[in-house]
Amino acid sequence: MAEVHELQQRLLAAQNADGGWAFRAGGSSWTEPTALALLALGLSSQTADSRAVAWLVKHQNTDGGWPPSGAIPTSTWVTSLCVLALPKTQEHHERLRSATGWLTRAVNPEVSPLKQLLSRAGIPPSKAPGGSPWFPGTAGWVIPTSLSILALLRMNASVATVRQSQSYLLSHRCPDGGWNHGGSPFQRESPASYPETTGLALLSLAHTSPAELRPALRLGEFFLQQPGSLEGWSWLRMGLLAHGCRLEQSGVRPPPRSTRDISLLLLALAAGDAQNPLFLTS
Amino acid sequence: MQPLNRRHFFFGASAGFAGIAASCSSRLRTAGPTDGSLVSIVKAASYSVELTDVIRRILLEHRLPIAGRNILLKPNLVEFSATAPVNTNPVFVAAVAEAFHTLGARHVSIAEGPGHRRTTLEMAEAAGFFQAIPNFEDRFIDLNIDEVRRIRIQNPLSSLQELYLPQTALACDLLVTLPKMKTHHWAGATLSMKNLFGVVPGAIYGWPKNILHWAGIDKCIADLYYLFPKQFCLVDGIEGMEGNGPILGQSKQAGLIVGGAHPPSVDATCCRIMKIDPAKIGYLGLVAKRSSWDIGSAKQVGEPIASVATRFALHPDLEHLRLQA
Repeated sequence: MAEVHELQQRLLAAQNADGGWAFRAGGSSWTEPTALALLALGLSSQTADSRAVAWLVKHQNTDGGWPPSGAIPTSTWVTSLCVLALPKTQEHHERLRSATGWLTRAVNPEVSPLKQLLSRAGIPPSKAPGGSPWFPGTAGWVIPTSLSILALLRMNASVATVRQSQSYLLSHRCPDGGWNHGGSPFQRESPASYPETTGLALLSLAHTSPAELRPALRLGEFFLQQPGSLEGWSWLRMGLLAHGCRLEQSGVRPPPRSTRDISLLLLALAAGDAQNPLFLTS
Repeated sequence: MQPLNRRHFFFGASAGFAGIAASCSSRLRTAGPTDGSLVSIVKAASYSVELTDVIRRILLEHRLPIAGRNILLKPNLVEFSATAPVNTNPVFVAAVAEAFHTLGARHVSIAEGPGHRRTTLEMAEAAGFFQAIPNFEDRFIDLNIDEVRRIRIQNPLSSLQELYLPQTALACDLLVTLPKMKTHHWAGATLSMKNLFGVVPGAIYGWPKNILHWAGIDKCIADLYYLFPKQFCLVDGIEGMEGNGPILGQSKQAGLIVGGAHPPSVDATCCRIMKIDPAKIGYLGLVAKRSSWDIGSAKQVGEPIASVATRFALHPDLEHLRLQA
């Protein structure tokens, strides 16, 4: 508890005067660290940080999405984090509704048989159906797709869309059972999974049959012993707990290096809490 | 090699070398991206030799204006690995930094924006950068999350009309690209020009920076080259990667450092060393067409290509890129 309090204080101390958070001390506010901080701080409070909420509200685009920062006009994947972070109150109902629409439209649709054939032939990159892109107009990848699933589940969005995205994740596993960034196997490569993407993908597949995910869960438990980064440790802890795994040994936890890390750590330490929006789905 | 200390990094080094550098002509100041085709090829058998001296000699050979300048080193950092030759070797990066300091650079910083994973500092730690370079964390800028500026691309070759690019890379006096000499399963070879993918910010475009794939990999490589006219290249060819690069290939000992101020000439020279036909590398062909640059025009100094050329295995699907004897 003392650790959580100390982390919260560090996070609050790093808040910019405009209500947002920067990636690095002294930098300008960006959407991702702001949404993550709002999520993390909201775990212990009945009321959201009003300045952070105001920052997000101010930066929502008219298309319903959010840009990576105030300096960039295009709505991107960070919209998922904003949907997860904004309080689900009447005040924000319309904002969340339009953001959910943006996320749903961002999911890559079914592709033609010809494109599927080219994709199978290894011609990169493919816009596999169900994947969500980092940046509009590009292919789907594991991290934005996983976060999109969590956000769409929170908003009780179309079941079909969520299932399509979950199918995308299941079809983009590495041969070892986990996930890397989501690149299709190319020219007989056998890519290895990453801890951070494996943890996040597991979190977004909380309702999937344990049998289907057994190799990924085993791999996740293995990764947790040496996650390589705090980000990896945090997503793995959340992903494994979402599937009811007992984490008797949580492995070596790397130290936080940024405010983003602190937010992820707070979310991981509160894995399974009723207040944690990332777990409302499990 | 002596380890660097904090003072070296932030305040530059001896006035003696600064004087030498200051008296050198301002090649880069006047050079656009289409001239300056001198390329140095220097043997370096391992990372334990006196790399700083070797690199300093290359820099002097090219008469770079270094004294008082802000230098940004851009290694290639791809994956968690201290052993596989996937990342630019941190000892090589430390030696380059030291060489610039001894020639009077005002500030030398290191920056990279990895393309697949966002755990940049952790990857750098695993690759040995923290061990090779004291206070590395204070000296490093993660280009994936840097402050950005919108840059319109004049006459783009790709479908991109603009890019948001990191202020750190745009503001430096000299961008020193430090790629690993590797084969690449899409582009054929990944060298100085491809290394610039790492300046495109992941916080905007993602991990990977997939917008560059959709806009045309070769064309984007060429577009990025034109956006950074003040470059110098030092290719870590001491231990390279062959086969299924840039990640899953095998080690290839080439025992070389290749340097120059004109990235296409440096890359074309590296291709010949690797026994790859530079005329068949898409992005080099695009630059040749755009700027009337002759792919065979580089003036090599140091080791002759014929004496150091070593066949880098190519992915079987890319054998058509092989340089014919």
